[in-house]
Amino acid sequence: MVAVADVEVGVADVEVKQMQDRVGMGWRPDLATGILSNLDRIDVLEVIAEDYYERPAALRALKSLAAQVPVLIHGVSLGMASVTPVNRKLLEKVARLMDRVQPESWSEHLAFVRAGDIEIGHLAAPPMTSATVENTAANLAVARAVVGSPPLMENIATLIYPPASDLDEPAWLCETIAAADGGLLLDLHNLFANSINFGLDPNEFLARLPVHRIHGVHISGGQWIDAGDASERRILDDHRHDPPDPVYELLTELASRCPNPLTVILERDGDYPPMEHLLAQLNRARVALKRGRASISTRSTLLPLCTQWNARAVGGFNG
Amino acid sequence: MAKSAHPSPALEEFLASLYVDPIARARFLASPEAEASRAELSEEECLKLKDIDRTGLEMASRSFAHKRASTRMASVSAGSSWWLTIVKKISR
Repeated sequence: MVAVADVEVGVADVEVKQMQDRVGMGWRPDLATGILSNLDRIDVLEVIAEDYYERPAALRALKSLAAQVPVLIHGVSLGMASVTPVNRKLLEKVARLMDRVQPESWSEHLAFVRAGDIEIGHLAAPPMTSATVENTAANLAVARAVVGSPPLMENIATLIYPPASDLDEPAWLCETIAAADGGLLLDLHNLFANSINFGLDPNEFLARLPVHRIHGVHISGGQWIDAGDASERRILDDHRHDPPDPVYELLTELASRCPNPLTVILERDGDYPPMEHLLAQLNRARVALKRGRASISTRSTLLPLCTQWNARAVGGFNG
Repeated sequence: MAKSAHPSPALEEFLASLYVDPIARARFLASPEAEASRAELSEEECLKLKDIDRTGLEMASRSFAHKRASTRMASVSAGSSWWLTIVKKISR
């Protein structure tokens, strides 16, 4: 665990060490030089599984990397939240990768990415219904059996309110994770963006989630986009901006209530700033975690902040 | 004729087609229930899709198209894996 000597939040180090929270970032080729030069300041790296399929040279490099720093595997192509059974051949690729790299754990998304012969090309929110709860749980059971360990499942960001839904997102997440008896990789920017886009209170959203099932956290940023005529705007989770303030506040809130050690990953997928800037964000996440671990009393300070963000939905976004 | 079955792969396929096919999307937005029924979705699904989030549908479709284009670009440049060399050097 990286020392946080420059952080002064009044928390005994022993308490933080006890929780073993860790903060790292997503491995991206564009960040390779900066990451490798600063491994002493990065607790853990998360790599995209699909970047290593059928690429032996990349896989060898990943094994070298995994020998130097804890590595997590993150998949984007399985489409676990679907009424269609998950593709076993894709799962077998995950299993082979896990076997070769021996990462700490793996994760996937609560999304569907294809249907019939149509590849959507990205993560789409499933209809949030009892049917998708049951089928997602069934897919997770298959994934656990084929890969040998269960994936943490990540909530996704969506620009469209999931069509044909009966449940709201917090309810659907709770039911799905419970039905699968699985763990949650909570993307706080996704939670935040969906809350703002669809009129939920981010704190209430978080409060409704089963914190004892949360083990991983993603943080990232986004930007406002409009419908073409500026009549309506929504937050796009593009991973090209710094996490906004409410995401760190939500991280503090989560840390104040979650009984598990948390592994926090900063995601960045473009418009890369200098590495020092990203490392400062890792430290900011460490501060947020420490504050949350220090006291649950911070909870009461969060509501006004996210309420301000709701009010700013027609204003500007400083993502 | 719409079926009465509960959510099925047909719904996901229909949604996927709306997300990737501008023509299918325009047809649907012009006549949501008729198009959903033509795709043999259940009556319940047809009713739900009548109230689809139209702004979100356009935004999400644009975002998916952008993502597909980015992925194609990324796969074109995948051959230049200069970072592999760096990892190998550092791990020696």
